[in-house]
Amino acid sequence: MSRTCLSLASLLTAFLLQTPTLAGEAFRKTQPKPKALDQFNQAALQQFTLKNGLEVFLVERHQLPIVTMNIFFPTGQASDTPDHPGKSSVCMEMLTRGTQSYSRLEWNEALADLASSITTSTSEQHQAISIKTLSGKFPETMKLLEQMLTKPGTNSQEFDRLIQSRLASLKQAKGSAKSIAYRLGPKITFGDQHPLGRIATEDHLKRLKVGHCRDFVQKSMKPKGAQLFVVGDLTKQQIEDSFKFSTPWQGNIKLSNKIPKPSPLSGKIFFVDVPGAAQSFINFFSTGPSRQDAEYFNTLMVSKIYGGGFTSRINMNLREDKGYSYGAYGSFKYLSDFSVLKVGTQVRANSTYQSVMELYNELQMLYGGEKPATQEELIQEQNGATLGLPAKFATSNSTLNMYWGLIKHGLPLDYYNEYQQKIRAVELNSLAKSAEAFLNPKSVKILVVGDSKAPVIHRVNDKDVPFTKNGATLTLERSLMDLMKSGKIQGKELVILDADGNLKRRQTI
Amino acid sequence: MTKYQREGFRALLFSVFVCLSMGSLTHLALAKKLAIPFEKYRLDNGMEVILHQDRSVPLVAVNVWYHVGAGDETLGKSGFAHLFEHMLFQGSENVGEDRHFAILKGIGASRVNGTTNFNRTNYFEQVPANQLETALWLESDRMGFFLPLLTQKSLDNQIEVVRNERRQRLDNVPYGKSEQKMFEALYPEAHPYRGMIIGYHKDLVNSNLSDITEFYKKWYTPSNATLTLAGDFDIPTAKKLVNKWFGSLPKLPKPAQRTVETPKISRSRQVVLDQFAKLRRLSYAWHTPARFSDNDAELKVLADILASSTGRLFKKLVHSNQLAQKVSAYQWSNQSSGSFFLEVLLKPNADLKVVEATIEQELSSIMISGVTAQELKRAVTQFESRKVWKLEHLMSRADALQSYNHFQNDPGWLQKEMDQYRAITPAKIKGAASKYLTRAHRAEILTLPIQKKVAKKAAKGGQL
Repeated sequence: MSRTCLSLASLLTAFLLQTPTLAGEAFRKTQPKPKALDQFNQAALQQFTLKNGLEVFLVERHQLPIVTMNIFFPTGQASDTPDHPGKSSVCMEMLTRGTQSYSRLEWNEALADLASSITTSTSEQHQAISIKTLSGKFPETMKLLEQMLTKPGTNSQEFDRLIQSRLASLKQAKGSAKSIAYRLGPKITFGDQHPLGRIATEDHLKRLKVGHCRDFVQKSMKPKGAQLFVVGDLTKQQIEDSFKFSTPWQGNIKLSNKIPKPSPLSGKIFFVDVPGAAQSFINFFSTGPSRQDAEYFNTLMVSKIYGGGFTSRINMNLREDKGYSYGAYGSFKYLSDFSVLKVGTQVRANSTYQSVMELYNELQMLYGGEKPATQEELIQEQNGATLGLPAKFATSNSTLNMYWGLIKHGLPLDYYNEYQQKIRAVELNSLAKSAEAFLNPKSVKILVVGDSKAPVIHRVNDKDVPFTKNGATLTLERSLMDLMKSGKIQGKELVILDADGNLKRRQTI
Repeated sequence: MTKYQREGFRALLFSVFVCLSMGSLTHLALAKKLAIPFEKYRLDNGMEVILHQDRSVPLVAVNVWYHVGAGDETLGKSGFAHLFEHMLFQGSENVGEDRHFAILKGIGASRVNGTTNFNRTNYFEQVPANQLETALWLESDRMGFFLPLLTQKSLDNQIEVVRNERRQRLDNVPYGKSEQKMFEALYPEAHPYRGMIIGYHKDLVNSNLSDITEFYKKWYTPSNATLTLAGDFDIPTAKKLVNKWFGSLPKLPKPAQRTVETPKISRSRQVVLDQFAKLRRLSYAWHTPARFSDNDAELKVLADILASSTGRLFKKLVHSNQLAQKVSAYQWSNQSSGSFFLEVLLKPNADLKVVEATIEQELSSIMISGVTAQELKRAVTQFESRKVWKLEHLMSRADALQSYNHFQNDPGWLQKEMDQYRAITPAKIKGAASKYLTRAHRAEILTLPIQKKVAKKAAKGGQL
């Protein structure tokens, strides 16, 4: 008896030692209530057009002596012809390898001495030049930009070096599950006849000549039709002055960034073998609405509930509940006329089978309404999107991206002022309809890159156990067939590809 | 998602942060006078508080540093500091289980994370200015009321999550195995840097609840923490709120961090066969001075002079001779010591001997003749400019104040750091290279893709 009392007393003491301050601090029990915050108003934007037709969007910020600037050209990968996939990407990189007056090394040194950077990039429907400079070095940096735009490099030795470097990168890209998945995903999503789905191979790279890039730059790197975004310590006048080049830069962009609708590869699960992979890379792909579609806000909210950030259903499932992954995500990426839902995660090799099923089930349950979005989930996402908006305008780069996101999709520049209301207007029933329209697991393509021979587990009564059939543990590749055979995933075909996306074989149930 | 951090390990050549006062900088290319306005004070329980006010955007960066890192781990407990960091997101008495991210999402927070390095562990979130108190509630609850919600289930889960993180960062990527081998070549078994912060699988699976409890009680005391707020707040109100949430947490002794002697190594070479690598990679590493100590800045500048896009090895190996796909160099300095890494990713048909001879030649040229004034100026300019760019983010400013406070006990140490860089001379770089980057005391790893022929050859010429 006394022992019980003693241990109770010591328990109590221990408790008091650990939480000595709780008495009288009931306030700790509940989340503090915030004071009201002012209505969000987006940063003031100036819009004007230079004489050569270049459209300019400027946000002046004078707190720091820095300038971030992007010129976007509506071309990119979409403009690549079937015989030259990868051309826009190679040619944009060629721009950074010197000009007609600067060798590559002289170019690098000139930029380093100014502490400025001029980089280029290519995306699905755009290519861009990005400039970062201290405002004091802006005029000199613009002299270098002038060189790049009006006297782009055409040195064939330099071009050959670039191709050699691309060939080496390509070789390495076939080495790991992650890089293979990145390279093959678009082919599965868009189809191999689509400009975004064609994969650049060694042969394609070797076939490119510097003349192709000369022609490409001539047709695409022009001011009329392009857009310049500037955020930083700069005025309209300074921008206008800086574009008064000694060699004129003018003309229209003659390439198009129009793309056809995707025509995904036929098959349900696509598999690439990487022997010895400790983790598998899993992707789901499907097509969604365009950015301008009235469904945008519904799909945004429902995709966040499914795969947006730490608290999403798939992350909480694969990471926080089952420990299969370090993280899982899913979101819509918006192109001009449609979007692509991309779900991705890397999972412990032996959990691949169960992980594919979990990702699929979570989608199925949102789509079919077995586990519809709850009011709590919706409110959390609505709060996240609306209250988090000011932070998206906190830095030059993020501000630039926010405005670029509007222009790219033809949305009005004061869009964000009403954004919060539109997010708030999303309701559970509209969300359910949207899930029904755009999260149909039937239309999803699944890519798995991993070790075909890895033995797999499955989940029985909340425990991971070896997945056996006829006394033998199933291997990863066989288990994927089993997923379809069992009807747990609606599909009939397992497509085995090599690291270049070439068909090795098809297995049909 | 929580992550471990290897500052400066890949792309960042300079891993310290600097901030400067907004007013003094405007319209100057590179300001001579650098300062981050701040106020530092201590609560009765020993917790340090640093306030940096900037009212230009309605946001506050909340950033807590606990002065414990993977460098404080003991043998058999590799990866523990980082695993513990994961656990601190799992819940606390008043907040509830695994609610941290959900609550922060619901108030519009961004940049929510935690990181662990050898020196410290940090936890941070950027919140709308009117939600500062919720962030303080979350941080104070896990500082003071963590143990009641600790469960075996959540520990088992986070061990698996961290093991996946390790696979994702090391085990399943090209050259990951080589990075592990390099740390094993640099650090003996009992050295806490050997485990690369993320730790070994065998140690991670052996972690238990009493380890977690002991670690928390020893290291996560208010006296071992520094809270920094950067952004839009009223100073008296912020002080009142900090005191409300943290002031009554217990006063407990401040633990002492470990200082570990720099190991002595002789030249060694290992060949690592890598199933995911498709190109050969040659890596060298040397032991070098600790963060902010003599020669740290010189070695950081030297890394740039060797391997940036204007660097000597870039020019010879990547550009002119087409022997390398990429070169990189960095001085990764930590609390007990630093390491200087030099890595060359070889082109498919490059002659390894020529690559090695070129590196040797450039290193000895620097040891004999030093570097040019122009090379030095360019590298210092780059360093200064990177500092200016980092000032944009409230969170980078908070981290900079924390870093100077942690290493130099002075959040305002920025000016002195800038002075260090400006005092570098070509002779000092020559001296640092001669003293530290010697052939006799470096670890070398040659990574070879697994191909039958190459594998045989490698086995022959393996150990030096």
